[in-house]
Amino acid sequence: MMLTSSHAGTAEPTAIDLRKWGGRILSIGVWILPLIWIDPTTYATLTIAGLTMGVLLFLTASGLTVIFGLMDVLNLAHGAFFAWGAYAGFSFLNILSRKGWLDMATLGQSMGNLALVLLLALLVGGVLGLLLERVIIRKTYGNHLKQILITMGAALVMNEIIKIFWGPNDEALLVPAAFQDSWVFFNILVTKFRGVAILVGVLVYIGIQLVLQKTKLGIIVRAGVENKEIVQVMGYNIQRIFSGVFATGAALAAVGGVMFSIFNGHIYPSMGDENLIFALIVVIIGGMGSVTGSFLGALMVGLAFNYVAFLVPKLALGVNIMIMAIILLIRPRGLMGRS
Amino acid sequence: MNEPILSLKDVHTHILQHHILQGISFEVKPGRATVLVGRNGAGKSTALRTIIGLTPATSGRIELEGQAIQNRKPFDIARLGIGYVPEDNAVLYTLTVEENFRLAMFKESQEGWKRLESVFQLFPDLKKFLHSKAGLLSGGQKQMLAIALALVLDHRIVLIDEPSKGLAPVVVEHLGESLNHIKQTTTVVLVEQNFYLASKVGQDYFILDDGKVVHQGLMENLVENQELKQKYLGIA
Repeated sequence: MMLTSSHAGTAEPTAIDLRKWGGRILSIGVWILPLIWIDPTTYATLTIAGLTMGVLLFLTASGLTVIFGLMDVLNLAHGAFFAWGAYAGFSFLNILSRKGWLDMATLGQSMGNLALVLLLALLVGGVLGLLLERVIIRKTYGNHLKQILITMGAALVMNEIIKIFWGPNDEALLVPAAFQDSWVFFNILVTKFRGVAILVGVLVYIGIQLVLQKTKLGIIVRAGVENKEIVQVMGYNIQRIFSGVFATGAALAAVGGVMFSIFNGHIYPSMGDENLIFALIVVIIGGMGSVTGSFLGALMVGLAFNYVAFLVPKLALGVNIMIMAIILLIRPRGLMGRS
Repeated sequence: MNEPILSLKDVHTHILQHHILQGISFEVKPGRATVLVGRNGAGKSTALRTIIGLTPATSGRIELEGQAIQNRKPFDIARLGIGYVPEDNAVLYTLTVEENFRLAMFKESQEGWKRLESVFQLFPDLKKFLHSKAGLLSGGQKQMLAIALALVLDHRIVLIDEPSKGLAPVVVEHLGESLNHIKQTTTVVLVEQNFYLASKVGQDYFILDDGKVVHQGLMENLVENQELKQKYLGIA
């Protein structure tokens, strides 16, 4: 008995090459091509802004992709978790500000404060996610239409509750003072928060990968993404795993909400809906269920958005939809999606 | 010893509007290899899926050592000591062989790893490919892995659905030897279209037709009964 390749000789060489290389060429093209039109210093600034936006998008998209990959649930309320995280963070930052913790802080102290705010957002997102999964989502397994309708409804309700608690208007965020300073590298100005955001995003990615690849829980989740029945007949309560994954996904979205709101400096009730569009684009580009795909997709979207927003501002959102369409044409399951 | 380890009493199962199992009843004796045979669509695979809870019974009673299990969830039934090897996609292709075993062990323990060593004696090829993705194994190796996964826990009974499907005759021969080894320590319920393998492994048989048990007995008698084989299995 020999090891065999499952793909040997199954398609025409040209088709295989396009599928294999098309995504990579596009990914590198998005990164390199703008250099033709943009001077290097501006390009570097935009690249850092794009990477920051990318890792922030990843925080939201990673939860969405795992929820879809494992549970086959189309969760359009994901943006609402993002918004709730942002508002919970806003309230907590206000409390810290009243205590004077934000004004006097060094970068290290500010990161400590941020860690506290992120913990709270994790808790808020996790609890809301658990609640939504238990009360609403559980009844819609296996029916995408129901999921879309019910989660859209849930998002509307959650957004309206935000308006009741915090009001319908934009609110300026009190950002720790140290995050507003900048570093200068080779004449390139980098806001400290951008560095922190990239660090948080990369740490979250590494954390998710460590859990998924190195722990028993990760094996169970990956197995559940591939074949739920097998996982059940091996004695695992897939329902409980579903709840945990949903809550984790929601918690990640809430963390994304906090980070994004500090990045933008303000919050508003519909911010989750807007972010959800980006997260969906990211998940589709990366491949449903793939965390690494989402990471790459998020960076691609963040970079493309910033480069194009500089060159042709009106095309900024459109270019990401165009990238998504091209990816779907050459790799219908996304960059890292499995058949 | 005469008490059945598993029994089905008047079990009905529907899949959407289709009435698949139409009052199926049979008993599995402990320490025996029982084979469910019958034509395509007779309900053999559905019977196993109903026992493990993946396609729940709509009525009737299923007992494991006298304990009713028909209303339990698949994970709960598995924890009671029933192993299940499905017909298709029985291994996790994206996981390594080792990760498949870790998953199958449920609660990893020294005892589990010891059992794994004895499983490797039965399927030595698998040890060589411990760190390979299961999706890269050959068809025969995947089937060996699927069965091995059900053996790493000390199950009271193992349900195996058409293990010979799509395998070359030489691999089926090896599979038969392995299953014969397994039945010495574990009660086995086997669904099998390949009558050669079924007769080589089975000790008791039940013939299913249109969702009902139409005949039962000792496998050695079925092997001799040309009329039954012709009528229900289409074997001349």
